[in-house]
Amino acid sequence: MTVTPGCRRPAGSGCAEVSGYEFDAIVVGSGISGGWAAKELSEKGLRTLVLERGKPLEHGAGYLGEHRPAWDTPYRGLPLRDLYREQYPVQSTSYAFDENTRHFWNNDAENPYDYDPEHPFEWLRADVTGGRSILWGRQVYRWSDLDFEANLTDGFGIDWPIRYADIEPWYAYVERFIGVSGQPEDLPQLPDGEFLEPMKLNVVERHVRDRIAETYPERRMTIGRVAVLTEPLPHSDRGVCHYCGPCQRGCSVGAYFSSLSSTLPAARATGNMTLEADTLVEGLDYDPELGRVTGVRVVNTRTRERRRVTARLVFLCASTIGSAQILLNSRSDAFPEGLANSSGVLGRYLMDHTYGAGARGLFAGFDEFYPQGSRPNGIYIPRYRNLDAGDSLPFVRGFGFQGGASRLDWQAMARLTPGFGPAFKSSLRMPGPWVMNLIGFGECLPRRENRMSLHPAKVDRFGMPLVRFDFSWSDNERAITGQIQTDAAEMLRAAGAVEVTTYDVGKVGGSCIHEMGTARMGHDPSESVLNAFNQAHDVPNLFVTDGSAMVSSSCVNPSMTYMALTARAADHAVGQLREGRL
Amino acid sequence: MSTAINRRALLKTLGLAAGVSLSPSCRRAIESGADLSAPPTGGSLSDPQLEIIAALADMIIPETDTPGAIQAGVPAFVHSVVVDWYTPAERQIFLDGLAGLEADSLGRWSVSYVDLDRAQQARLLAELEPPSEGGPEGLSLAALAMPPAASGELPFYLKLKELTVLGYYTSELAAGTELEYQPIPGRYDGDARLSASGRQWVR
Repeated sequence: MTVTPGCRRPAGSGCAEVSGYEFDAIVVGSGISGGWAAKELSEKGLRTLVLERGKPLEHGAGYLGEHRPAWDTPYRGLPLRDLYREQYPVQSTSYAFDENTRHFWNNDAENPYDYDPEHPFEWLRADVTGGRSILWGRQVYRWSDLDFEANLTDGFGIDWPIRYADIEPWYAYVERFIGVSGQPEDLPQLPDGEFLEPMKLNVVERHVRDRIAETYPERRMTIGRVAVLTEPLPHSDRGVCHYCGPCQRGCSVGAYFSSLSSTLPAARATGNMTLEADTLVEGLDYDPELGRVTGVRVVNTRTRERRRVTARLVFLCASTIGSAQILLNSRSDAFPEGLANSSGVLGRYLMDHTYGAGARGLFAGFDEFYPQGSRPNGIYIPRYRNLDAGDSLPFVRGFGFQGGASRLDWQAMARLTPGFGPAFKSSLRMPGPWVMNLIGFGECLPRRENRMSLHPAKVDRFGMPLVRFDFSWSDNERAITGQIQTDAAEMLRAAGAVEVTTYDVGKVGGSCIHEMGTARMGHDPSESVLNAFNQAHDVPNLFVTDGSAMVSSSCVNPSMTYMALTARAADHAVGQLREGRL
Repeated sequence: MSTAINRRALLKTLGLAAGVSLSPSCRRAIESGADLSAPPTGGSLSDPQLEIIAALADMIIPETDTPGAIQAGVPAFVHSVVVDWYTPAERQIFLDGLAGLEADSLGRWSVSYVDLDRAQQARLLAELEPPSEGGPEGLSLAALAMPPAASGELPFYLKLKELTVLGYYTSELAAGTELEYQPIPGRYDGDARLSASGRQWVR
């Protein structure tokens, strides 16, 4: 073990004069959760090492596709099919994957995984510092006690060890830092937050909102709540949104929240953070006599050099799949089935949201309107099904809708317009008709048989066992997907849409990129991995604060809950450290 | 297009030099034969292939009060896709389509497609149009769910039209003339009125 000179942290930081550890804390992963862990731990005075599997990425300079015009894009944006088929067959299924973002994504050929061919699973991963916070959809919603009590109420899955009151102050803490634009709605199932000025619904969306409210008073359409600045933040030099549109290319003014624009700079400003990219974590070392994690084994992905780093505290924030993979690969006599896995549930109860089903329709009567600017946000219709026990529906839980109204562009209209020549060209000059799209996001039940595990034989280029997925939707998710289409179509018709068509593109697990639940929290160590503070029941100096901690999936986008849980866990961990309990 | 102009000049020179009097189409037919369906050689399509691509792009998006496909460089874009981006099967569908049009033109009027008058060119192209499933009144969104016509086994006409449209509306020239280029709008106004010009904005 390397002994470093005495640390220079302020008194009371919990850091011993000569700790014997290279760092106070190691954070694995620099995405949404890892960035928050890095910020919180380093701001609390801990010497923090952040390990990132992906490549280095510099805020601004690394955003190669930002504002790139179409005529400078290879083949004007046509997909590079041979390359994508050979090297990006999974990642290229994402709406956010193209030549302006490809450098952020995982190379599937270099980093493969395994799955049941009958039930494919799409594992969409970033391969850069900042992780998927660079590419994410930016939608941020508070969960409610409808979500935290769901498992207890209907009996699917174990009870959450926390309630809304436990996380509420941390939601507020996160919102103040990241900046969330949104409209208060006073709905118990979707609690309001501390919002910046909301983005605006357009003329057709307001029309649809009002018609839906007349026909279905319990269904409320609001503007999406989004981690994009509509006004400056007092504590930050991030710029406000300039409405160019495709955030996923990167935003050099930092208008949308990402680790690179927000949390990592805050961590760096403390002087306490060290960040190492190109560093894959193979596993964690466990000392059975101390009952603690004592080291992190890493591989430099460029040089293949292996080494071990030590810290008093480890925060796993490597994603729902990545964190569980690391724990499953950390076998010892004390934990033969994977570290912190005395319960045997590690890797199980994997969830994602149902996605890819909805309806769209045309709206007449608004031809004189044509929105200006690309709003990086859409509408949201919070869950309205199964709010009361009295609903008699063929499924439990519920779903919400995202989507929006816009006018069809030249590309869509060219496919819908016969002919050619001057009249054809003239007809494409004006924007096409208004289309409103409603796409459902459905809750997924936690089921033991939905899992990721380590392949017994296949390893990757670093010798790490491949992740293997066994995941399928259940009848409950299928029933939700059906109801989503029915409800979307009836709301559009009630609002006066014509040519209403439903769709279900048959998305498989993982494709919503909301995977959750492989190292769930719980009261009982025999059926959960983490306690109410994301601390491993079996290993007190190990915290897991990404999506793997989730006990149920809600139908609500999960990222802000990861951020709030991470900040809460960091506060708890440092408190324990200062009390000498860690 | 410069290659077409150069080729016309070359043919004229050759024709004069040989002292023979052939109609331009006969010369084309003699030179190109059925080779409009020939695969590219040395990473390039032949001049006759390029000429007919240019003529077709000009039919689909002609110059009007704004520049058309030729000025926007669409033939070069179509060429790059056909040569470098298409699979061999897609490329053959496309090139067979060119050869079919040319054969049709020669069969009916004994004239190469590129030398037909515009009405004749339009008539041959219109005959390739698939039956319409609805005009502007019966606009069906189902077509939006179809895969892009540029790829796969879809017919020549749809490939040609989609590539021409893509090449034109994503060109810098069209962005500044036919459309309104707004890379940094700076605001979102969901109640904005359609401007007098009615033009779409693009980023």
